[in-house]
Amino acid sequence: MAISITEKAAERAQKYLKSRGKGIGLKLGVKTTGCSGMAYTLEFVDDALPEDKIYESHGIKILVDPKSLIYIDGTELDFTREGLNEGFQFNNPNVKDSCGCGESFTV
Amino acid sequence: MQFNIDLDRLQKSYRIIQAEIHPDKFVSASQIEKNQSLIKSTEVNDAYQTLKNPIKRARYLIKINLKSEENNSTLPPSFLMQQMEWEEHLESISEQKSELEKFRLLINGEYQKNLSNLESVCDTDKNWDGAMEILNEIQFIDKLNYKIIQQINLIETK
Amino acid sequence: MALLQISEPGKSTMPHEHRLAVGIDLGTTNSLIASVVSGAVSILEQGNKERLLPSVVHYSSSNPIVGSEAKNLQIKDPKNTISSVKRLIGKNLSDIDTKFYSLDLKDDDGVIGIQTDKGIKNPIEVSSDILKKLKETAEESLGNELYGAVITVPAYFDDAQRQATKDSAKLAGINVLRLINEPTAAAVAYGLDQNKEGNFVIFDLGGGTFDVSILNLSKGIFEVQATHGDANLGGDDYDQVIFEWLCKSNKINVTNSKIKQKLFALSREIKEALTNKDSIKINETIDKKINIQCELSQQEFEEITKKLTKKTISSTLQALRDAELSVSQIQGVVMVGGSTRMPCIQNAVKEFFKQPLLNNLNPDEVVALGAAQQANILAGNTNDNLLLLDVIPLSLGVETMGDIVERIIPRNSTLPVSMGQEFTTYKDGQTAMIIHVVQGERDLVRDCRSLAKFTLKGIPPLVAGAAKILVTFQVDADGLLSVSAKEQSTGIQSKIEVKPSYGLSDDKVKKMLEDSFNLASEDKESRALSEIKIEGSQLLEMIKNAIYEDSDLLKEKELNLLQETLNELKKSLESSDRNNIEELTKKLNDDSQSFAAKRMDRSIQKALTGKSLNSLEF
Repeated sequence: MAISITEKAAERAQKYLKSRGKGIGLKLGVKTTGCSGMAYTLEFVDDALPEDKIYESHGIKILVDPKSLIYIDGTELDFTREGLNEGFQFNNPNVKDSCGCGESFTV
Repeated sequence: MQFNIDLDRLQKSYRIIQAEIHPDKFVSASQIEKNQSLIKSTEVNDAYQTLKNPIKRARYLIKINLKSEENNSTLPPSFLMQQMEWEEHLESISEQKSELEKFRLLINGEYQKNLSNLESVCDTDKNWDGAMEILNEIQFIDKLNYKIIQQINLIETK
Repeated sequence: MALLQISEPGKSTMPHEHRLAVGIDLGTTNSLIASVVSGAVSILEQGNKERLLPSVVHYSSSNPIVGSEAKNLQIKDPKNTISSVKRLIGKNLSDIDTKFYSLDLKDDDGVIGIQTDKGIKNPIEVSSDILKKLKETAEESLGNELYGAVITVPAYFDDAQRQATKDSAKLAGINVLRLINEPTAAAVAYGLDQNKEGNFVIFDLGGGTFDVSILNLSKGIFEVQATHGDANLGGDDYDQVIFEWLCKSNKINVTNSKIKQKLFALSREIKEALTNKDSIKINETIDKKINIQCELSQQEFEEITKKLTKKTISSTLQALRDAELSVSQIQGVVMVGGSTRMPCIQNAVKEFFKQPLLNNLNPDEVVALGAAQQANILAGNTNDNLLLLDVIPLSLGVETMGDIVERIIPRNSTLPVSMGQEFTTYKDGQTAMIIHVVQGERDLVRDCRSLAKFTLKGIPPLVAGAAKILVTFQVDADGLLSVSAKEQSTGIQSKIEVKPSYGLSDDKVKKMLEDSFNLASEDKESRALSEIKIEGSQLLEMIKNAIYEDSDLLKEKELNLLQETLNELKKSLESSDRNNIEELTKKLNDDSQSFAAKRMDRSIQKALTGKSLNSLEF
């Protein structure tokens, strides 16, 4: 499997990277804790680490550290809008259960 | 410590320290760290201002070197005469902006001259009583300079 | 589903711990809110897609109406519609020129009160209604609760105005990360830190205030050298001149407030039209009797407003002089505030500095954008290093005998700053002393702004001149003053600490806040308990970490004492004994002051030795 990004999300990410003025791509990962055990992280990347897995989708480099990969392999990063609020969303096939807020999950 | 210091280095050190301890760095910290940051940052600002300004720096140097804090030195009569002359001159040109500007340049020249005197008296001769005398003169000149600027501001805001 | 934003490397937060930080430009005419989202700073739009929220509040229905909707009611119902409240905040009735207002203004216990159909409103409440609206917008569009805000104030705001602004934020339930000066925020937005170094002038003419600041920029440090301005000069004054010109050239005698409002609105339209036209023909029917027909040219407009423009230039000149800089030493001039769109201002500033102006960012938005960037930094969401070193705009002093001001902190001192001055008694056996705190540059008390009066009691009765009372002023990074006084000749220390008490007392603000929450007393109790628990556990964590890192700074006895209090507090935090938690938190706080001070000294040492002084980064 791999990690991918929708065209819409790629467009946004490209825009944000440009306005930030630096960075080689995005880094997806998970952190433990949160209300359902694990939480997603989404960060800009300035320097890749040697162990990072690198994917490319719609012109955006996506980095994942190997420890996180098992939890999010197959994930597609999307960009959506809910009312005035807009942002990124993880479509993760591994998730069994997520907390009401969607920010943390269990596998 | 001496009177002649590297101002560029002073500014750099000041900025490094503030970047470390300024209250902005402790916005989300505990109350105790906020307090300490406020105290230290205030002290560092005070120290920086004291060292940056030549008059304050000289006053500080004299204070730590002259054990007594009493200011016993009197201004020499020649300087008192000069002082009166300058005050009268300021009075007579108080409404003429170009004359005031000219006078300001002259006073500024006097200020610079005294400053280099102060440097040799402090750093070479280590004559603190002498330094006190020059400091008194310089303080007068500084005040006069301030008065001239005030006068110019006044004309401009009219 | 909560949506994610992209964080800076290593700055991802735990769920529900996002630090959503915003910048708020609380303007005289319009207010804006901005935030950094996924690394990009942008203005948060209102529900109706507008970027500017008119700073207008209408009080007639049960909930206040804020923004465009309120603005539309201004002409219909001027009495209940409050605009330009920034001109009133932190002031007494005697400070202001009532001719600007078609409101029913009165004195309300030292504060200005505005009579509306919904009762008397004070400027702090009105501002807080604007802030509440902005907060709602932000929480809707960011999808979560706000962590905190940076709110901008004119650099030339005095202590009372700053304190009142902070109070209105408190009342709106906003955690104020910092009050920053508008020109400084603008400098941040210009990203001057990125590529520029040297001395920059920020010329900020808003709707009701004028500021000019001179900053020295070097590698992310913004050091304000001097600031000057006029808290009562802005675009509104240009409108006022046009209004007077209209009345005079059309021989109108304005008596009712609706006509006044209409003419003001027309004056503003004329001013705005003159931004890109050489001349404008006016043909307007105001009411059955009044019809206006005339023409105003750019040149004539420049002529009738010359006095106002000249004021801005002379302020600029004074700021330059205070900074000890000349025009040739200025690397750039940044134009901020909607009123800098006026060609007469642009020309005057260009001519004065003899260089093209920096005005590529929208002058209405630049302050909010800069504030948002600073909020993002203060909230710890980024690795960017940027430090603002701002100054106090007006000198602080106390009244001495004969109505004379003794200056304690001179203007343009870098914040935070603290200075003291010794005073003595003038009568034998005197045991009390009144300390009157004032702000301003003039020598006489009556020409300065009176901030607070308080009485220092408990001075030991001695002969006149024997008691020595040290009065200390501390101004924090928000530019807010606190005063303490200490009698020190006898070893008996009578020390009091007073925050200036103008406008609203802390108690009144607290009460208004409680009223607005409308909480039952049980809720209040549980709220208070959870607040003190959070405070206690934060302190606990901090001290634990500090001991882990720097225990070598403590003597064994000190360490044991701290550990003991730590354990007690830890146990207490599991209970619901609010008083006990509060007590132990205070004890731990007191016990660890000197430890915290030593740690701070160590970090200074580290910072200085970490970088060889010859290759300093800054």
